[in-house]
Amino acid sequence: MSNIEKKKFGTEELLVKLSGRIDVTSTPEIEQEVNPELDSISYLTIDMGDVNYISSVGLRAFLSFQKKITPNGQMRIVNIKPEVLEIFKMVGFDKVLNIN
Amino acid sequence: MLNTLELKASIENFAQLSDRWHNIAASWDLNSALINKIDVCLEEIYVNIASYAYDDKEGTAKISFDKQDNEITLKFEDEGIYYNPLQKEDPDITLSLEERPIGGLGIFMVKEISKDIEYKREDNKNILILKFGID
Repeated sequence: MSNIEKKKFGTEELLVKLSGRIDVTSTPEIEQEVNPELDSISYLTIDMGDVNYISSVGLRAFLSFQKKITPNGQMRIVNIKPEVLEIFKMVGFDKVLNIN
Repeated sequence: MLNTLELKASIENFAQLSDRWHNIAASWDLNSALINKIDVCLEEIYVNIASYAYDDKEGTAKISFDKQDNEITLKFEDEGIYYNPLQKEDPDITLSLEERPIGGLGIFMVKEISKDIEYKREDNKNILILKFGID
């Protein structure tokens, strides 16, 4: 199970804190929460500090968020655990996403 | 050490399958990084079966977990349409953000994580066997 917490700073910045698993069950909920925000914000921060698992469906969602926000804004991923980062690196996402 | 689970191939049942894997993995005393990597493979292959093997009809997926010495074997069986995931072309993971397509990563991840993969079509079944080494 995954949990999603959203926090808005002004009108342009959104912090999304995820926890648990980002898999085929939880990813649709994450997309439902994040997608409607992407047109109106300039900065999206995804806090992965409490995420211990991600599969390809979750990675696909992250790439889609990045593509949608790129023309007008920035996305960054923070607090990622080493074993989750390893999955991002496996598919080359450390090169196309902003992870710190 | 053989554990087998047969369930209706639906996306909703993935949580049950993943829970079963975590219970088995705990009894085998595996580290969390390996448990999660095998879980990724379990999800990719199972979700493929649940999404495509039976079109709109109902069908089952049978998954066996086995451990021998320093090797774990996962075996997937379904009676759906012929599908050999090994024939799928690998994505180019060096493309830029603009060039990268959104999907196509699942089977590639399975190939990266497992040390050996075998596909067979027998008695109208798709059989996929994945092997993983224990460090």
